[in-house]
Amino acid sequence: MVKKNDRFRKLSMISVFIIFISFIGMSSQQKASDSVKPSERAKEKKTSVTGFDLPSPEDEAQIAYLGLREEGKFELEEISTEVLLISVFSMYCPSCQKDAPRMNQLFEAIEDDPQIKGKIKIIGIGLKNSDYEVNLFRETFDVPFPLFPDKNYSISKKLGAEQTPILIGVRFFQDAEPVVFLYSSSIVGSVPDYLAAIRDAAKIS
Amino acid sequence: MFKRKNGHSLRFIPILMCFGIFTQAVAQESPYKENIYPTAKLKPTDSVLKLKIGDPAPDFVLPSVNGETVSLSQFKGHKNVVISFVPAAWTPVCSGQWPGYNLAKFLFDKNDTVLLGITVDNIPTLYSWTRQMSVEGNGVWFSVLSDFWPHGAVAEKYTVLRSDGTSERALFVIDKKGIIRYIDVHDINERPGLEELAKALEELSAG
Repeated sequence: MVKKNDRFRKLSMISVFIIFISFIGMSSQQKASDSVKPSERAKEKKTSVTGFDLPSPEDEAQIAYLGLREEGKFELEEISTEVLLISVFSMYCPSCQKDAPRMNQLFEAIEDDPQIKGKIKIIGIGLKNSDYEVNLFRETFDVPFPLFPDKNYSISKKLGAEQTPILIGVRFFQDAEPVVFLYSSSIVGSVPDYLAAIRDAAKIS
Repeated sequence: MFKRKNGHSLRFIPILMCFGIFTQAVAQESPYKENIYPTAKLKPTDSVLKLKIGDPAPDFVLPSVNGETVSLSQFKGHKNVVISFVPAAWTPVCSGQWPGYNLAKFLFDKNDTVLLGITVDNIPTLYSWTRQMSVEGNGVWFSVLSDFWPHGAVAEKYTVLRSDGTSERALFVIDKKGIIRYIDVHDINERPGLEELAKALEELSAG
């Protein structure tokens, strides 16, 4: 009698333990690499990175950052970079306000790494935001990368971004069409992990 | 293996299971995003504005989310007032205004202006809504007033009550003498630009 009870208890403890472990396993935070995938969402959203232009930043340092030669308007393909991360945001969006420090950290992480500095660049598009509103966001969060207003929604529409925040990754090539390799809402996991996942997905060393 | 003494070891089981479930729950994405009611596009306006620039602003007394009672007349002689009517809580936030105004306190301070946010929702609704619209979850810096009962009475006084019981997306700027100096009854589906309000406030300050 006693033996049977012992075995039963052992079995139930083991099964509880297994259930517990599987809960932990299921609940572990989504890995950064899982969220940076060749994106069906980009196709579904019909993300396009051509056919529109943006005004050159007023700040000389930002013109230099983007590698633009002249003032006036420019297309995304004119930016001197291999990978462009486009952060579609809104001053009115609390998630974007919350994300801003991490986007800044991502920028710093790239600029601090001599291997990728100059190869990955970031811009922000203010969905339905005016110049005034974009400036307020920039000043409030000390955003170091160029931000552009999209008051009439035309740019965000082309990018397939109907809401915020959206983070789009584009790989530019010398002799081929640009490829959208990332379409997600924001940085997942730690900034270093996410950056590694981007480098991996964009296939740059 | 551990000893079993009168069921002590079995107490671990519910604790472990709770911990497992908790970590699972915590790892879920914020439930908020998927819980916003998808409002269809509405008639841009659905009321007839009967107030104009130069009219005295109707006085009112309303309860605020932080427990105070706020009247318009308490600011007369001291502060300019901006009243921001928004249609209803829990309608798409990312086209909403107040999370943006949450970044713009300097604009109001600079122009000696108080911001009052008003909706027809009740206090608990406004409390939850404004808590989650701020990054730290601690609400907005300006007073949020409930025009719930009598329902929409203040919106009606300002002639911006819509036929479905929500209010227009409207801004009223009132000077220190209690006179209306700027009105924007905006397309309810769009958001008024902050720069226009900034300009109206600067003109007020310029006298």
